[in-house]
Amino acid sequence: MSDTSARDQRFSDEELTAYLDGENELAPIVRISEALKTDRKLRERIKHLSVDKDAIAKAFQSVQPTNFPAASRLPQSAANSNRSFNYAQMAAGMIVALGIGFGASQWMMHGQDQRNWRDFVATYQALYVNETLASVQQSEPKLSSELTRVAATLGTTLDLSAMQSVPTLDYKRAQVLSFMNQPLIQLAFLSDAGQPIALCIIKTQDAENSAIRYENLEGLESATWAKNGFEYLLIGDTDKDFLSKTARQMSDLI
Amino acid sequence: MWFKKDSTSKVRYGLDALYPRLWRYCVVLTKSNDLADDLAQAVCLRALEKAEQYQEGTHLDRWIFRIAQRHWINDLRKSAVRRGAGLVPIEETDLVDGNFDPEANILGREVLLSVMALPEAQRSVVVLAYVEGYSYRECADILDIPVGTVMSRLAGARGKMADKFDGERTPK
Repeated sequence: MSDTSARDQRFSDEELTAYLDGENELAPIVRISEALKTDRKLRERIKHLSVDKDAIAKAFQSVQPTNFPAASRLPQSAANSNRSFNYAQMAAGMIVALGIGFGASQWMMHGQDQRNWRDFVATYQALYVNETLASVQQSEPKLSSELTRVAATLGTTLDLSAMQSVPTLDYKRAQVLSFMNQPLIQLAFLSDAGQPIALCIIKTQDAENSAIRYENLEGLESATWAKNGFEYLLIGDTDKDFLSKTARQMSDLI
Repeated sequence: MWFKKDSTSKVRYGLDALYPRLWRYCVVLTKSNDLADDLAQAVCLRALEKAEQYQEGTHLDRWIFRIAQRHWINDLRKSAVRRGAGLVPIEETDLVDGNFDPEANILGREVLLSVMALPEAQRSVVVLAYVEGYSYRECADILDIPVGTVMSRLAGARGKMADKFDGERTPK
């Protein structure tokens, strides 16, 4: 704020700011322009409030993401596939689920509607291509701190060495997603064949552990199991044997 | 229904072009590349979830920014602060070390840091108005605040930044 002792009370700082920004509807442009011709203190206030907007805009052009989400890398051919249509269907299905209103997040965590989160993850994972993760290179400390932060959203801890101990997988990153306002974490890997694979974890209110089940979702192979209050989904565009073996390794590790 | 698919497609493909701007705004909100990744991804998913609510012919970018703003305030900011991420001084964030072009000039770096040092309420509106180019009323719509609040936040931000920059050319 400008010095109140020197302030010309005819115009507020807000009006002068609107004047500087050319917001004609919100500032008495003509009156301020006239006053500036003779009012030295008003000119000083204007000078005090002046910033170089071009410099600000230019400075922020340098702030660019290093990684794009899979949706941004989706090839046009894939966008026109059945997978794309399924994605639209799933999004519409999600909207219906959201429309149930209060209690929906509780409701969706039980029974048949648990399939929703897996289907939803599958449609998201289906957008991943090798290039989504191939350029992701993070230092060990950063991978570790990221994993700690992401796991904390589920109130748990995950060990980086466990994520890196499956020889056929290259651990890339962890991120927090959201499903029906429930945190859902995604741990992303590339297989030794360069295929993107995700291990997704969500809390479950079902206290029972469950054995690994396999199913095809959105054309992707997947394995699901429950353990110690969490449900796990390993999913990727790989062959079934590879995914089955990897799921067994993962379920032993975490 | 066809219109659901169509609006979903528009949102989906719109996110493609918007993602760099969305991510940048998420950095402005979170002051962290990692949190910005999380927020931007969450916003993308939420936008797809809510795609049916997007009205074709309206501005998708403002709709997406509005989702980002609300998601940050309602769902993520508290947990980020609780974990300490929201309290990290700007000098220590990886914004400076990671994403700023090392060949950019020193003035640009100082400008960036000056804006990022502003309180969240002020820096978000500064970026929406002066980087994204939104009018005051558009900023108010995105932030869901009165236009008078936009004016006062910008005036406050200008006061704090004034000493950092050279004067600008005032409107004729």
